[in-house]
Amino acid sequence: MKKILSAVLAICMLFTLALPAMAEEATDAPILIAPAPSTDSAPAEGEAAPELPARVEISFRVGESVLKINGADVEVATPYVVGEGVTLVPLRVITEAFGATVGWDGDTQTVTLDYPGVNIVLQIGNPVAEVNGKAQTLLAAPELPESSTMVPLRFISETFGATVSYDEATEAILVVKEAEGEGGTVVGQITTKRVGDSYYNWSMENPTNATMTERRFDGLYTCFDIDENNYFDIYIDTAREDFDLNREFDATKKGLTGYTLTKADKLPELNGYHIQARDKVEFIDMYAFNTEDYYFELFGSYDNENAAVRDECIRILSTFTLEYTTEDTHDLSNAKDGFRQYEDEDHGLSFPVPVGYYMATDEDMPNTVIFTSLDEDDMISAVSLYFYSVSEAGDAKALAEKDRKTNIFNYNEEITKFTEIAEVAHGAHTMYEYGFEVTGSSASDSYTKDAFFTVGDYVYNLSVHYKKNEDEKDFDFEAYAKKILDGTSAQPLDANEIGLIMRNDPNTTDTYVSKTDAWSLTVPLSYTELGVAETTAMYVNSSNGTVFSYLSGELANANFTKAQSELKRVETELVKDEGAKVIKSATAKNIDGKQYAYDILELEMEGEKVYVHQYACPANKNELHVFMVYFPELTYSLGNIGQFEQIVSTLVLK
Amino acid sequence: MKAKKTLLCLLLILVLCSTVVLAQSTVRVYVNGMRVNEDVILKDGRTYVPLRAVSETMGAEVSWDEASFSAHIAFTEDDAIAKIVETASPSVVTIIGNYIDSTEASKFSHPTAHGSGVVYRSNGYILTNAHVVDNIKNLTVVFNNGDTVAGQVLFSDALADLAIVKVNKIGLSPITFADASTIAAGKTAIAIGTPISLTMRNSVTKGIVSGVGVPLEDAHYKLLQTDTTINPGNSGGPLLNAKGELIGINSSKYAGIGIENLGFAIPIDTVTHAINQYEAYGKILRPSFAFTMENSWEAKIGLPTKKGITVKTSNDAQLKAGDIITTVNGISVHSIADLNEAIKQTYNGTEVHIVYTRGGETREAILK
Repeated sequence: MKKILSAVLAICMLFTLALPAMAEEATDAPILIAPAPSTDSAPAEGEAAPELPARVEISFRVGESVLKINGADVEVATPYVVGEGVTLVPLRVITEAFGATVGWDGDTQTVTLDYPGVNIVLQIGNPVAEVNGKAQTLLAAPELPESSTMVPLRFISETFGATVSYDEATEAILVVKEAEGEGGTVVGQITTKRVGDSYYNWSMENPTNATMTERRFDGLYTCFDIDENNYFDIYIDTAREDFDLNREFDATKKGLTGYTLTKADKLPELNGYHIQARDKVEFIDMYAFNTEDYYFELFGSYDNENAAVRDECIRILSTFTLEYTTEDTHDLSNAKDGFRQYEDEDHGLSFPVPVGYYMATDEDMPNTVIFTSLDEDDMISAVSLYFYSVSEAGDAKALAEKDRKTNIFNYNEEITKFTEIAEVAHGAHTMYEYGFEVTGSSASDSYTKDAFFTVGDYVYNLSVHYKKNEDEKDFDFEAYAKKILDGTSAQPLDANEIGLIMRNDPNTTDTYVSKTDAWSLTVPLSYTELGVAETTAMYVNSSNGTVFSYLSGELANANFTKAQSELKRVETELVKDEGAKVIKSATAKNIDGKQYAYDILELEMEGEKVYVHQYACPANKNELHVFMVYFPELTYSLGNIGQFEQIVSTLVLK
Repeated sequence: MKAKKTLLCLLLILVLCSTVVLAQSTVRVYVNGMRVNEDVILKDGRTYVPLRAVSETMGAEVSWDEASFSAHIAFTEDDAIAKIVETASPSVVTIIGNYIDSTEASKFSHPTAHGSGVVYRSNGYILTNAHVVDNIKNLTVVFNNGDTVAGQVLFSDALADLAIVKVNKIGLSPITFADASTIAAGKTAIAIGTPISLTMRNSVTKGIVSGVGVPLEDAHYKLLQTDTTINPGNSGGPLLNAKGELIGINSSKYAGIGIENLGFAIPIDTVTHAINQYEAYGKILRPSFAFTMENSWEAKIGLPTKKGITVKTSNDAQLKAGDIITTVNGISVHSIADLNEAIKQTYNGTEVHIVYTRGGETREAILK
């Protein structure tokens, strides 16, 4: 009995494991495990997803088995309609059209669809689906009639962001998801009469026949495409100071050699011109205007295939005015309150940038974005964002402390004031931040706020640097920096995708030996050799701007007093020729037990104050060795001076 | 022989038992629409769920006492409400923009926060009030996680005070619609709005449903009355029941004159009607009558009356001034609001069947 019982149990185990899809059949027939749907319509779990298509289009008529998916004819199990007009299509249609990844659990007959931002879970026979974990009731449940999993087309397509339309007359179904417009705006659906930019003050009729394919973040370039051979764009630059209408007009005309001119109008009231030209394959329609603030260039290029398209574009471009009309106009400008919100969708970064700032970094640079502004005096204010792997650079707090320490070391204590590191909550993130201001220097006052925050595996550094004009007495830097930090946000990044990102800090601690047959110096790696010879060498530290030279020369009966006289001689020359100021006339300095003749001068180079130190010491009876170092005012710090004097002490004469 | 029969029976029973285990070996458990992502066991026809996962999804606190080997679940209404707000928050948005008729100077001034909205479809469809989106441009939608995106008004009906805004986003968290029949006076009502603030914290007010089907003089359809404070930040945002389901769209446009704590929301059945009409026709279909009507004073106060609606002036061939309308498309009507509701429930773009009395006589008219 026991044996039989255990045998029975064993057989029952088999039964409970078997999916009773065929349970209705006679119990002595072998129970089959329901076959998994053919790989044709449900790829095995974990199959690599095809690359996501930019534009999705599915079109077919109910009853057909060949569907047009993204331009290609695909034969699938015939879609059919259930319930109250719900069209079910094979799963393969969805994966091919959208590029979504599919998972299949045979035990529960569950389909998982993965798509950027959306995860859908469906179950055969179950009208309740899940979208990002939230239950949603479908109009009809997915089915598995034979070997193809059939899923509701409209529900999935709309959840993935497509529009589904059905033509009752022809029974044709069309699913369309347009390619992503720039910056997440509802591109292609601007329905106002006009479009324009309220910051640069221009507007024109809404080119409904075209798609806006490019819009530079700072609004300086906008391009509308009808197709790849027909487009027109608007290019904006700062006003040209030396713009002479006649000369520019002539130059442009001359530049169109090889084309036949069909129109050339000077528009003096607008300080611009309108020129049209053509050759066998291309038709050019262009305008140029130079206003007080900006230089505008409108350029249209059309192939000669479709005269109607070309003429319509020419007409639209002719409605361009140097005026932003407010009625029924869609404002393309992203300028708000003097800022534009910069967004890097690839890295999930977003922060406000003052209008008028230019992107100084290459768009391809992965972890750095710098926006700068140049004013008439070429002073640079900037807003920069960097990010690094936490495993390499440390977390926000550690990096803040490290950076602050480095800056305190580098900056001139007399003119720089640092704040302590504070933990401050800003909008999306809590940041470790500190600031410093440089006041009383020969250059204009500058303010810097350095903020650090961690998101996932990466640490971010947002730095706001502002150079104040003399007449900007009431500029509230704290409020300005806070506004930028409050508007900053970074989405978590996938370390597997982005990879390791290291800082490229100059190495200020490790040293190398710079030498010739006559001498050698041990120099920190942050100093680079500019030129090395037996009697002279020059080095520069690009991270703090320090430049120094080493000279050795003949001086009969060289001694300490003579060394001092030499320095005094140089002082007099510099005062006479360069307008230098002597801060400390030739005196003595002890470095590492050795006496040097030493003086300090102040010079002005290219409008900036520079401090010069000279160190001279006699050697080998007839030799004088001199070090001359230039410290920019900004980085004239005890730390940098000390570091330099350390170099001096490593001089070894052979 | 007997043994074999017993065996066969045993097998049969066991097979039958095993078939009671459904085509799935895992059961899915949802709490207020959100999936509990832990293994659930189905045994002997009973569903065993992981205690902590389910409780915490409900907003309860679970603690484990090692000494007494017992689990304690602490769950108060407070927890439930907090959980509802937490779950619903991703669906609530702020809608901002610039007034269209602003002067040159205010072109560069701050965008004005207008109100809230609620996501009802994961692919970017948002409900709000018509008065929130009418007359603004550069409409921007801000989500509670700070995501900001341009929005486009697809539909706006001033009479219903409802609008639909579309944003270019997918994978959003849509609000679940409540069953209109479950809404009753006395039940909890929670309003969530998102005032413009860089910290994007939702503002929540709680109260009860004070009245269902309340007519207001200047409202086309009947409204949901609530003592939940509806401040301008809530306008266009959701009014939820204790399960976190949408029972109405808050409308700060309607205020009780001289009375406190009276807030109004557009009830879910009007909302569903608007969405269905928009999807089918692109707008809410309403018949255009060639006559005007007025409410009797009983109708104005909301008393049931047989003389609710009187035709005031008429250019219609069939109806004359003074006629009293009593039935519309088979529904008894005692006020203009009743009539609007009847139209809402029955009108499909074709005709309206009116029963009216003139001089004591009952007559019928079919208006096209």
